[in-house]
Amino acid sequence: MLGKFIKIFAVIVAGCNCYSKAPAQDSTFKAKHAAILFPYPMLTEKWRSSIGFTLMTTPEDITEEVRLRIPCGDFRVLRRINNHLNLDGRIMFQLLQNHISLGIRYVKPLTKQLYVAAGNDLGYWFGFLKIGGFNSRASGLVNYPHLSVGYKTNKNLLISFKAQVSLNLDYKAVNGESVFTSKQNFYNGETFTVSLEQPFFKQKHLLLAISTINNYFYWQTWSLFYKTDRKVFYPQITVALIQ
Amino acid sequence: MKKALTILLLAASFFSCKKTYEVLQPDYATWALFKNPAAIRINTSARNAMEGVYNLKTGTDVFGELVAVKWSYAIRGGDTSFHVSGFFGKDVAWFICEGKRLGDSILLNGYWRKMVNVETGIMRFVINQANGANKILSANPIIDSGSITMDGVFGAGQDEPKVAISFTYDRKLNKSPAPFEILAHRGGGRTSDLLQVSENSVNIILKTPEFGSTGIEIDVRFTKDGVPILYHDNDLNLRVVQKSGLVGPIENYTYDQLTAFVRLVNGEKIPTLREALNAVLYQTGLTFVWLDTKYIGSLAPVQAIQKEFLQKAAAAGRNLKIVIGLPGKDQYFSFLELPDYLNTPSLCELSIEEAATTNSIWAPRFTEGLQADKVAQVQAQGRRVFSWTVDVPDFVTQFVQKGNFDGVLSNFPSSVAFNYYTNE
Repeated sequence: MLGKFIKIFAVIVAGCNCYSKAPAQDSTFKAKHAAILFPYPMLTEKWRSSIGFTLMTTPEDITEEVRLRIPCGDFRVLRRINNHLNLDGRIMFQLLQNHISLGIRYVKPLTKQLYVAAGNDLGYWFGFLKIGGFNSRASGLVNYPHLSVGYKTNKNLLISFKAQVSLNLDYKAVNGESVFTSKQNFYNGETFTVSLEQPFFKQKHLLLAISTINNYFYWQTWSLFYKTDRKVFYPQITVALIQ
Repeated sequence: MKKALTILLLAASFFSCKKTYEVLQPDYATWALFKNPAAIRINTSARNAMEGVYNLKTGTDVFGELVAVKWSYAIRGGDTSFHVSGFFGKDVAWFICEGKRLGDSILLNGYWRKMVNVETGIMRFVINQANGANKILSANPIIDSGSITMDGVFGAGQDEPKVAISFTYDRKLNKSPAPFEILAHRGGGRTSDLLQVSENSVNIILKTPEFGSTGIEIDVRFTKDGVPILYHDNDLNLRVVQKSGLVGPIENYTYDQLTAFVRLVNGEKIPTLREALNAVLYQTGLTFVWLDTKYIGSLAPVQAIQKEFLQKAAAAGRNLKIVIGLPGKDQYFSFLELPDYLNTPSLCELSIEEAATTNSIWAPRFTEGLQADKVAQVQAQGRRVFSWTVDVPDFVTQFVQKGNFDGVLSNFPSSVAFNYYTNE
C-alpha cells in the first residue's frame, strides 16, 4: 500500500510538471476564495488560517458503551513560501489529548479550475489522564504523506479530495511506572477526505469536510483501547471558519 | 448548496466502507490418521507428563521462542473432553488440540489463532516413540529437558497444514508458592475478540480453560422479575445480542421474555447466574469466580447465591472461590449493608482503605501501574491483589513477571498464562 502510494505520488507530481507548461495562475484567487484544504497556490497572501472543530465517532464494537463524540478543536494555518510551496501547520486540541503537525505542501494548478497538491506532514500527539483509576500518559510520532485534487466550480465553491496515509514512527504509553513503547504498525492506515469550501459571511469562508479514517491506531483513542493489528474505521466531520 | 451537500453525501457513502473482521474456526476433523478407530484417549498420567515449557525449533518467526503447554478439561453433555493448549509468546498466539494415542505415538489435532489479529489455521503434531512418546506413555513418566519433541505442521485458514513447527521440552511450568489467578474477562473474552462463543455465556465458560484461565470475571444484572443473569452492557444492543426487536435496558424485561426472544451474538441464550455457576462448578476445573455487579441495588440476592454455591463447592470437594465485585461506591455502600459482610468474600476496585474496610481483595485498574508499595501493604494485611484488565502484551509481561500481583484479569488469558508459566 505504501509503495503504491509513493508511486502514485511521484507520477502525479511528475505529471503535473509535464502537463502544465505555463502555470494557470489566477491572481484574483484570494479575493474570490479563501481555502485551507483546497490545493491553491498562495500568490498574493502570506498567511491563511482556519478555526473549527472535528467530530469523530469511536468504534462501538471495540469501545462498547464508551461512545465518545467529544469535539476536537482544529486550528490550521498556511504560510506561503513561494508560488508553489507553502507550510501547513495544524493543532488539534481536546485538552487531555492533543495533536500538532507541521508539513510542506507543493501545489500545482493544472487549469484555472483544476489544482493538485502533494505534501508531507509530521505529527506529534500526546495525552494524559490522571483521574478515576488512571495514571496514564501516552505520546506518538506520526508521518502523513498526502495528495490532493481540487476543483473550483464557477459558483465560488471549492471541492477537494485528499488522500493521506499515516505512518506510525513512534508510540509510547505509560501507566504508573510501567512503560510500553512500540514502532509496530509502521504503516498505520489511510484517510480520505472530501471537503467543500465556500464564502460564508463577510470575509469568512466555511469549510465542511467528511473524512473516513481507516487506521490500526488513531491518537484520539489512546486511552480507550490498545493498538491492534486490526484496522478500525472512524468517520469524522470537520467544520471550520476560514479567514 | 444542494449540489454541494449531494456531492458530500455521495463521497461520504463511497468512502465509508467499513471492513468487517471475522474468524472462522478451522475444521480440523479431516486428519485421517486422527480418525483411525485404533486411536484412543490419552490417560491422565500422560497428559500431566506433557505439560511444560518447550523451546521452538521451527516456527519461531510466526510464534516466538517459547510455548507453555497445558491440558484442560470441560464436561459437555455428560462427556469430559480434554484439550491440550499451547500459549505462545508472540502476537498472543495459542493452539488448542485434541489428543489421542495411536500405537506408540501421540497425535495432537486442532487449530491455532493469534488474538492480536484474525490469523488462524489448522495445527497438528505427532510425538513418536523416539521423540518422547515412550516416556510420556510409561507408567511413571520422568520428563527432563530435551526428552519430548513435538513435530508438527500448521497452515492458514482451512488450508491443509504444510508449514513445519516443532518444539522440545525444556522445563516444568512455573508454579508460584502462592496461588496465582489467571482470570478471563467476561467469562473468557469479549465479543470483539472474535471467539466463536459469546461473552458472558455458558459456552465461553466451558471454553475458557482452553485459554489457560484458572478463573473468570462475569457481569451480573437482574431481570425485571428479579432473576440474576449475565450481561455486561446497560442496553440490549447488537454488539452483544442478535437482532430481536427488543431494545432498551435489560432490566425492563422478564427472564422469560429474554429467554424467548433474545440470543447472544453466537446464538446462545443469556444465562442465569445459577447456570453460569453450575457450569463453573460441575463442568470445569475453574477455581475462581469474580461476580462483577453491574447494577445498583441490594447485594443480598447475590450474597445468597454466592453462599449457596460455596457450600455446593465444599460438598463437591472443590476449592472454588466466589467473590462479589465492588466496582463503584454504590456497590461498596450496598455491600456494607450486608449481614456478615466482613466474612463475605469480595473484591474491591476502589482505594486500599475501602478494600480494607470490606476485607476485600484489592483490585486496582492496570492504568495505575504496578504500585509495588501499595500491593505489598495489602498483602501484608493478609489480603490478595489483582490487576485488571491487562491486555497489551508488553504490559501483561510487566504485570505478571515484574509485578507482585496475586492475579491478573485479561481479555487474553492465554497471554497471562504464557507469561506466568514461562516465568523463571
